Amino acid sequence: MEDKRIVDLFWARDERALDAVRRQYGKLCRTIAHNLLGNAEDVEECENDAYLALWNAIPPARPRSLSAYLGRITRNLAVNRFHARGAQKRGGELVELLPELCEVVGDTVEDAFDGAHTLSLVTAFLQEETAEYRWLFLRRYWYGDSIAALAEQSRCGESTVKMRLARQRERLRAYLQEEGVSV
Amino acid sequence: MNGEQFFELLGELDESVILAAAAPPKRRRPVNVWLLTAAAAVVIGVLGYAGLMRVWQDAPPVEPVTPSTTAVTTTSWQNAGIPSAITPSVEQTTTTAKQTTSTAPTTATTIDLHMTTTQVVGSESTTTTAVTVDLTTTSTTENFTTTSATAVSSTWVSDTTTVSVTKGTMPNGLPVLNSDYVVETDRLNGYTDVVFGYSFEELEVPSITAAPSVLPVYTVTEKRYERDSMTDIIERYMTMTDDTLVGDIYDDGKSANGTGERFRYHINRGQGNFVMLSLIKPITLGTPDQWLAQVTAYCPALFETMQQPTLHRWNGSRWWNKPYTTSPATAQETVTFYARIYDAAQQTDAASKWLDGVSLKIEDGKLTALCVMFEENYQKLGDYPILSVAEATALAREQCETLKNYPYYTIISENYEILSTELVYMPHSASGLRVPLYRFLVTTDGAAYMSELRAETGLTMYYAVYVTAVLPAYWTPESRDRFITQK
Repeated sequence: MEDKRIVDLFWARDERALDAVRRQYGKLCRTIAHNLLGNAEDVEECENDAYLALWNAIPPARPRSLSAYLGRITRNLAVNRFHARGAQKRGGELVELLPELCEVVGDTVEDAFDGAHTLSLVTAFLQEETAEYRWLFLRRYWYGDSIAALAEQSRCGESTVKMRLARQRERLRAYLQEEGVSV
Repeated sequence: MNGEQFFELLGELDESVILAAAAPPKRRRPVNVWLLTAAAAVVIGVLGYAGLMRVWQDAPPVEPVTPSTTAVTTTSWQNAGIPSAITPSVEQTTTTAKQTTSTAPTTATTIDLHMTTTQVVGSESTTTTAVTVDLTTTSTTENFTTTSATAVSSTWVSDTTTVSVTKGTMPNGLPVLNSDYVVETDRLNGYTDVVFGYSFEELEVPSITAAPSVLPVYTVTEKRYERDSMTDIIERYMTMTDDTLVGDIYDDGKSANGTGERFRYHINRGQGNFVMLSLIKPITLGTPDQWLAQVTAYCPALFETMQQPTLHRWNGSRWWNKPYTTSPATAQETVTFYARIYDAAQQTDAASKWLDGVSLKIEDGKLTALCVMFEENYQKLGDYPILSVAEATALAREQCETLKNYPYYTIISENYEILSTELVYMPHSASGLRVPLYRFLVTTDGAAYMSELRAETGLTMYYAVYVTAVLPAYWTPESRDRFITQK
């Protein structure tokens, strides 16, 4: 079913919308949640919470892409769930991802930073990257894919993926620094 | 900034960027220079031999193709006053190719059926006398899918003790409509694809009922369920049905111990399966004429091509919505009406205008937006003979194998007592068809817990099940349009 039709069902408060979303994007939800959390119980609850959040967000929202919108909700919920769990119980790729991202932006908690500006810089940076590197970055740091999964999808070794990501992080760090973002 | 902050920030990347990573990029194959050279030589040789290079240079100008099209006007409005100040700020016309509807003379057929109000089914009916809708006060909905066919089931829990359907003249044939869902597009508060949207500069609405000149006339009854009683009902339901509650009982996405008025509860049953218990205040909608006057005032463009628009309101609902990202204090109240507009002067296709919903967004007692969902341009596949009520009932009772291929098919178990039968139109989301359906409202007294629930709470639970009304002989899963050409 087209996204537009599903969104219209949401607007009409038609519960079939949830069914359609579950069928169409359930796998995406579970993949993101599983990638980030790595716990079956959390994945299921995260997925269900995502549907509810979607139900409550539409209307008034009218997303152009349900997959991206739902993916973002799932990702945020997964992060919340990650925070809610004790450090010892944490699992999934988030444990590995966050130190990698610290290589880019440092490890200082800042209460106030210009998120919009940084985001626009990251967007610009990704647009300058080749399609392959852009895909690699987003799959790793947005979808939370594991190194092994990325290696399999890109048909190269894990060490190659790690090396590419490390170089990309370094390029991004230098770019942000050059643009005045404190890293 | 640290890694966690940066990770969350990445979550806000634009959709277009995210979608770029949906599939791995295609890797280029290494180019074989020798093969490429050889291929180029062959191509040049062939072109030269056939003299195609000269033909190409002397190619005559191509006449622009003028398809048989109908203009679709795309109009945008920005924040506007009401109603006279609503002025299109941007107007552009695009042309979209679409199939023309059948011009064969057909009789105007109006269907307006719903659970507790009147229905009009007849060859020349153009108006309905429905005035008051006593909406169900509480509803639950379960979605489930059978392995053999899609089945849609809704459940209402209602304190309405009588469910009546006014019997009308049953038609011999009803149209099946197909649509590519061509809509006129507008932007409302930055949302895309809202058909007609009007946003208001925080129009003060001290009381909904005190603003008849702004809102469609309706009144909200005093009757309402308090949170505790609703929670009791949910808990009883859970106990009786042996449903396994996974997670919390949700109140609009918030756990039940949140704040705000309890309106819709989601019971998470796990495996992506929800039961929704909705507490919907009974509302009395205004007469169609009154509402029509309001809508036409807001949306003049909607009616400009219609000579004698008549509007049929067939349902309505009202809910509280707490957006995911906002605090419970900013709950939004939304009123939705579903309606269809028919052009009484349009004799060739009575179903030319479908207005599927009017949403009024009320935030903190202020009307902030009016959205009209508008479908048009349905292509009529034809008028199809339909099953009689008895035939449809029998097929559903018999668990007919043929019916399993229908867009809507639900087995009505012997344990279910059919309370009423309605003929309705519902969109079939997968095929884009709008098909006449029989909707059976059935009780579930066969299940002991339902009787018990009713005894304890005073609520009656109804299930609604659907069966495609078109005669099985005209249904074919192989056909692109799902229905064979009319015999």
